[in-house]
Amino acid sequence: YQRRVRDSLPHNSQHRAFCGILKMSLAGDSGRPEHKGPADVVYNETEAAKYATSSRMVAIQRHLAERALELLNLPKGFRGYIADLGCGSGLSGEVLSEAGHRWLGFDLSTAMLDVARSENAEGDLAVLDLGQGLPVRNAIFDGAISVSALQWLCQADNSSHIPRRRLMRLFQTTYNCLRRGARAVFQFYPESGEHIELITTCALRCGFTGGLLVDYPNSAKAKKTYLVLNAGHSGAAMPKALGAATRADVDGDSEEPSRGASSSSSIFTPSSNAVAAAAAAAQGRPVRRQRRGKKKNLKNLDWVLKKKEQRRMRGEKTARDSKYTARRRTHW
Amino acid sequence: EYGTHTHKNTKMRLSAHNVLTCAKKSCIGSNFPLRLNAREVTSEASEFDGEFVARFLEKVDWPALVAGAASLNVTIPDTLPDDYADNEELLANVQKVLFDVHVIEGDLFCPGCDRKYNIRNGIPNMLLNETET
Repeated sequence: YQRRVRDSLPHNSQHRAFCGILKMSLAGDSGRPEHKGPADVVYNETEAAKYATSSRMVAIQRHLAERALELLNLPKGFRGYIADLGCGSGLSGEVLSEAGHRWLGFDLSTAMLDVARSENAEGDLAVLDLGQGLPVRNAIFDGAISVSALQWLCQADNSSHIPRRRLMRLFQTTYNCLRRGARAVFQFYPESGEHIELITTCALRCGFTGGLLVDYPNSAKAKKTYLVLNAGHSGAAMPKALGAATRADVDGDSEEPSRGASSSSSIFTPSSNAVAAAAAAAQGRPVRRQRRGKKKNLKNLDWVLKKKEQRRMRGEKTARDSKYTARRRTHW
Repeated sequence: EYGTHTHKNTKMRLSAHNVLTCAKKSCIGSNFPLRLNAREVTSEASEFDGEFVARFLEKVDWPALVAGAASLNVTIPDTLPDDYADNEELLANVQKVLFDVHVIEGDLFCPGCDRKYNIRNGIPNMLLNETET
């Protein structure tokens, strides 16, 4: 009965809006807008207008967009065709236009895009759910930026949303529509180490190289996370993060553990250990040293015999040594 | 030629039409170019940037541009000459067609599945519904 009812519910925009508003009113304020609902429901006309007029919001988003554009590492004076993923009200697009680029922006919220229109955004805009993937031909963009959007994909807004699948779809299509050697930079707000691992694993699986960069890793307030992805090896090194003591990048093959607080740039390698290390480093946690090879059997026969002899010397009652001493037990 | 419209800010350029495909995964192989049906069009001049246009032409799908322009009653040559990078007049005309013509209201249709994507207020809606993803 339950399944039939669910299937018969209309999946139209009114229904989604109703569910979104219900969810928003029931949810507590975790400070994370993506917990309230999907981006088009959270950023309705009222919220979109607030977003565009709050000078603090504008300043923050501009700063993030400037940094993301800087991390694209385009040649000085180069004017290119850039994708703006989650372009919202056009704040990041304005940064692109000021730098001389033309751009194509995508966002889920028509309310936000309408604000972009009324603010004379120079780029082309399109309504899109990033989790569907980018509907763009191959090898078009000279770069892609995304400001404060990626964390939205880690939420499952309805029963058909599987975050991993949506992330894979976005990363794969982004990889395809970037020119060889071009870069995609996603500034986002990671909720947890698990989210970071999920995101970086998906990006790796789609063929990207690159890494996670954290500016000001030691400041809870100033800390900003950027996923820097190369579509095909561009030859450029991983950029330096801001506000951290310079320690060489974490290399997944190295035996040396990195001190979490000072390392804020981590490079991808296909090894899952390295992904976990990158996630830990990005969060400021100390990275556990990865053990190579099999664990030594510490409690072997020699050790046991030595210990028993020590007990006898102390005068403690000790079982006699036999052929069964320190033999591997099959059951207890 | 083009009606002047109060929506000064509307932008869906032919440059976007030249790169957008059908959003459905199942249409791969027959998802481009989208058939353009424009009901309201405007134009807005932009500063000539020959270098940018020449570089954009490296990735442009010329037949799709011809078809898109034709939907807006604009004629351009059937083929792009090889020496386009040196031809400033051609570059200036191509820039106008690619970047200065804006579709305000219209539709895009997938050549493979015929799905309609509407263009409202200069913004194409590429959002799929839950059954299509």
